[in-house]
Amino acid sequence: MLTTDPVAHLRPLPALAPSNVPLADATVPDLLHATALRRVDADQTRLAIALAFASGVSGGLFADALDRATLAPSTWEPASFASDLFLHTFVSTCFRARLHAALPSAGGRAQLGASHEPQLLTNHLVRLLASPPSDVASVEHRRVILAELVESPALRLALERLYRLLSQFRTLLEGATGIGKWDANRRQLDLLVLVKEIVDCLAEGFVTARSGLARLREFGDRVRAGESYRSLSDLLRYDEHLGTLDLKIRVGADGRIRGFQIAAIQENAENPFVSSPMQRWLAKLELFLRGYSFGDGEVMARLIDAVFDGVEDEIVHFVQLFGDIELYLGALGFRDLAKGAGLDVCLPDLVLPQGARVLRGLFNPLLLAHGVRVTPCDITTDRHDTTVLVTGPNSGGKTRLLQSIALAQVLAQSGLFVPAEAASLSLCPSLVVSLIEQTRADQAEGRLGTELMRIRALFERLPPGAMVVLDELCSGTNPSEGEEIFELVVEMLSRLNPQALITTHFLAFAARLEREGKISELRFLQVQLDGSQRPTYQFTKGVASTSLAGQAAARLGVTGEQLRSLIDRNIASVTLRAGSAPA
Amino acid sequence: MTLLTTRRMPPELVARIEASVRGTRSAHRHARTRESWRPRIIAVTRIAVVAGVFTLLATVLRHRADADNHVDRVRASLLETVRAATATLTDRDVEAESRMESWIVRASGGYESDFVAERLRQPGALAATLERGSVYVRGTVDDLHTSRGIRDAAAASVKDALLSCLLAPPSASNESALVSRVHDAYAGGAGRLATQVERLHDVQTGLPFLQPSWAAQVRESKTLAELDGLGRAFEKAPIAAARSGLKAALLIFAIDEPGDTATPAELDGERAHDVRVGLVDLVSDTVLLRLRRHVDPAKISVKQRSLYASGIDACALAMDVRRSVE
Repeated sequence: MLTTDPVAHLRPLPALAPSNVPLADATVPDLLHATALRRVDADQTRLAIALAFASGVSGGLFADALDRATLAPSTWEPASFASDLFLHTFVSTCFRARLHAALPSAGGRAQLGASHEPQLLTNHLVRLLASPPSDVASVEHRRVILAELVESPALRLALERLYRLLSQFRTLLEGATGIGKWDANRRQLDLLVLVKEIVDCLAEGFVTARSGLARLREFGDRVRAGESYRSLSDLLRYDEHLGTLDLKIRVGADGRIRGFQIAAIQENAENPFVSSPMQRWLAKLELFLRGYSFGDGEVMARLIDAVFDGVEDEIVHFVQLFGDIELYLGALGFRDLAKGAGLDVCLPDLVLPQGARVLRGLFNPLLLAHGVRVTPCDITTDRHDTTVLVTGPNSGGKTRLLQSIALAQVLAQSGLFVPAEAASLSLCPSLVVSLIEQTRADQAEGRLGTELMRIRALFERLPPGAMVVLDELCSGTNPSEGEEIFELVVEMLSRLNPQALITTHFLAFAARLEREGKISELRFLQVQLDGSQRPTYQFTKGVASTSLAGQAAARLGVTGEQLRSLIDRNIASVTLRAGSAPA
Repeated sequence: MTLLTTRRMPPELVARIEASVRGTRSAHRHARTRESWRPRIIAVTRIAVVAGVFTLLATVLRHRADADNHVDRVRASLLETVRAATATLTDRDVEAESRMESWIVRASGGYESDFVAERLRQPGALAATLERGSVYVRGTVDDLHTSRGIRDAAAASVKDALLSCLLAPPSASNESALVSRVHDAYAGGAGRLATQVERLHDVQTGLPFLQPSWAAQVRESKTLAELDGLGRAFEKAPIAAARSGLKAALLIFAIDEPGDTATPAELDGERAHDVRVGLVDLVSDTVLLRLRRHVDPAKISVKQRSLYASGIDACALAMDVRRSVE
């Protein structure tokens, strides 16, 4: 739970263009924000849905609409961290919805495309994670929903069923599987069946919800109370039950049917769509004269069209809802994935920057996704607004630690589970991560120059209180000059009260900073080594005394003896080839 | 308004169905493209086509009705004409041609002997008998013993010098008087004299138009073309002559027996041969006269014989018959 307002120190939100601001709309079943927002372009999406409904070919309607959707105001810049954190990889591998076995639908109808694995809207999820809401109420809104989903398996099952129905609706609407292409009316009726099942699921599946999930019930109830839903139900009943025939079947001595007789015909007169046979025939004639085909199918097509027109505005909300549910089911899937590996996740306690940072059982989700055995660690600092220098041997887990902490911050900021069994974290107005620095073909500067440009860029966009994660700062030049720049950066950073985590191999320099204590709010973590001087992937306070480069070199085969043997082997190979060549 | 809605539907749904049928529902408004006008263009085209088809159909039906009415009128008119023509004919009249044919076939068989009924021998009786309506035919004995032969002979048989001289004998029996009458007969004089006599051919030709089967054919005719054809045939047919012939009281026939082929024929084919002449009372179905006479062009002067042998022989034969009765 949020103990105090952890973002009171945040600077005012940057002005956003009006077109980028989602509109508050209480009728939208928004699961992501405390104040319901309409984030998809309603007009454009409505038109796309209408065209897809009519033609069956939309080519990624949901993905396009969600990719174009506006996001709630956020002070985070995705470009500052997303690629360094491999956020896309994290979402595509760890954030997959893991659905329980499908339950039969309410109407007992065959589940359309049930065998279809829902296609993850990765880009949308990455956008959501990379732009966490600056509104703390929305963060809390999401945490309460997730907590309730964990607490209530029934609600989770209902949400999964809703997601499955929405996936089926999406698949059928977008024409991805070609189902029903031969009979447009059948396909559209199947879509309307799904619309009804989705609305029913919304109204009936979340009756006990107390969190933001209650919006689903309210939305479902509101739709069910409307005329458009009643007309939809009537049309589907009309499709299923125009009338009743009472048949008398005559069976012969051999058990075979010898004849039958219609005893009575009774039309379902209560249904408003049922008309007399003469009127039905005249209706076909009318449509023919109006330029349509002459046939029962055309009459049904007009009725479907009219009914769909009534529910079209509600269907637009399905698109946004689908993306929202995917975020929650992704978070729950991440939790399931961790539990499957014997790890745990949690909703962290949110504290002020002056509060202690506690991450117990922290693990790196990227390692988890790649099947690597993950060793969780515990990280504790007395407060957040400090600069933490992490030292230790190569391959000791420093970079992985920074990834884990940054990803935990991303997830906490989005109101989701963090990769730790318990955590206390403080929200921050921005995140800057620099973990990888690849050489590019168009690079104008050398390694040091690139490093310095990175530092310049960091300070250009760094607001007070931001989280800064830097790996091996100033490693591209000689140690003495590098240490000077390093000290300057650390000193300047301290003026912004950041949550900074920096790794370095300047061990002597780090030891000096620790010893002198000139820079306030500087903390030190080192990789813990076991008795054999091997990293345990745990971290303790202090500065490492060695980088154990020799051990790493030996582990990777870069000793003098091993290099010499490689050279001898290569020379022998060349000599052999020369001797066997024809004179 | 549309017939796709029912009274039980809520007004909102009715409005949407009407909009869908009109092609003006919200999605269409959003996507207002040329495509949205297609149903209207198709509708206008279909209505125009349907209206055109109905107009054409109505025109055709009206034309057909007018034509049917016209056909009915033409048929009725023709039937009325037929009815008027057959109004006075009895069944016996219609069968008269058969009876005539029977008498002719009988007379062309083996000759039975000369015979003159007593009532014909009364003074002026022959002339009075010949004044009655009659049917005349002349042919060879070979032709007249079959129906087909009678039909062929009747077609070739005209009102000739024999008939002319029988009805109105010349004032003298010398060759000059005979030639004069023959001239007159060849110039159509026989027709002018024998107005009460009809050719058997006319009776046979006109009889089919006076029988019930022909009226039935008229009634069954469906088209104007058929009726026109029947009407034209009726107009061309010798209806009046046939009707008179069927009601005739007297059958006059002359049957030429084969001549002597050993003697030369005259230029008009006349040669010496026997001729059977008969009168039959068709009312009482009795023979009034049956004579067999020999004609021989050798008695005619050479000057007249080459051109008028057959006419002079015929007229002389008529004179001979009259003398035999009187």
